[in-house]
Amino acid sequence: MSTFQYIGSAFILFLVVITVVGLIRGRTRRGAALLWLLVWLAAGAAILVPGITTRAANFLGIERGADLVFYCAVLGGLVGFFLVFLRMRSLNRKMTRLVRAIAMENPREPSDNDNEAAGDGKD
Amino acid sequence: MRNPVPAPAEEHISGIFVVVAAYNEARSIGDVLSQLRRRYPNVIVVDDGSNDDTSKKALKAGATVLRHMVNRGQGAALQTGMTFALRRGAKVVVTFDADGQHSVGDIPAMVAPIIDGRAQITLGSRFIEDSSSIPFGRRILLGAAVVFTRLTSGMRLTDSHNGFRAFSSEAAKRLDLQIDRMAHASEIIDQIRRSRLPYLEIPVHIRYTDYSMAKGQKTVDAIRVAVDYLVNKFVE
Repeated sequence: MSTFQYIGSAFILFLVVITVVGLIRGRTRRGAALLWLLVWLAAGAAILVPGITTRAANFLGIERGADLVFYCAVLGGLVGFFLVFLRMRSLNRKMTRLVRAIAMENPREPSDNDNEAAGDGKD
Repeated sequence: MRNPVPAPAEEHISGIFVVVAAYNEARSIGDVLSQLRRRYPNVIVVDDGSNDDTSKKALKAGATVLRHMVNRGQGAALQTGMTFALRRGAKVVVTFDADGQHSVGDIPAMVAPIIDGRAQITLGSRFIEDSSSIPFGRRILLGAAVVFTRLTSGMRLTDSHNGFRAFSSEAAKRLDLQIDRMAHASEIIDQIRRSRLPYLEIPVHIRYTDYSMAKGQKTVDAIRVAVDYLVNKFVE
């Protein structure tokens, strides 16, 4: 085994352990953990069995294994970007609902002016 | 000139709530509100996280003030104000800009069709009558917005991006603005179309001042607003 294979497989093993621990402690959902494990296993296989990416690439009609890995990385990145975008949107909406709820709980009437306006604009 | 519409009858006035969304409008909001308050007792200002004296000036002018702790954008502020107005028993909710470009004198014409039951929603339009006073750049931008609205929502309006609107309580209840920022203008129109509630466009005057022009949308913002709206429409 080459040095890279030692380092790479140790790193993958580390990721697998983290994922499994997350699953056991209930911090990661089962579906998500399974997906991550599949990703780590694929990465591990690519590191430990050098020819495997080329074979997979050829099977899919791509010439080089490195190209396949690159395409997967780009696709994965895009999907990740989109998921983050959706998550941000949902967080934004939650924040708006929260801000709205706080605003509606504390209406200020003109008669409050003398008492409260002093603190205005300073939060 | 059109005939002026008489002011709403006394018994209707208490059911009319004017919602003003304001973000850093301390300079203009006092005048706008004192004009509004002279005729309409129920004025709700949603201070959208301003860092100037907007809230203070609004309270001083006699409005009820709701304060967003963090700026959430005009769509969100309007939704907050409308929900609150409904909670206070509003029969008609009018949305009115804080920068002084709308005229209080146009409110009777905006609410009359709703009080008479001719429409559930009225939309102010600066293009129905003489629009020669509208700055050229603005006219091009608003014309593009009208075409954009026609293409995306199928609604044939003359002025899709006018913040002067009035809603019956029934209509206001059905609105649920999700786009926080400026793209809510197109979103409102989409929701009006989907609700199938009867609406009317009403001619209104828009007063362009250096202040309102500076506060208004820049041409480059329009592209961002359009993207915002389209993304929301297709991701939904």
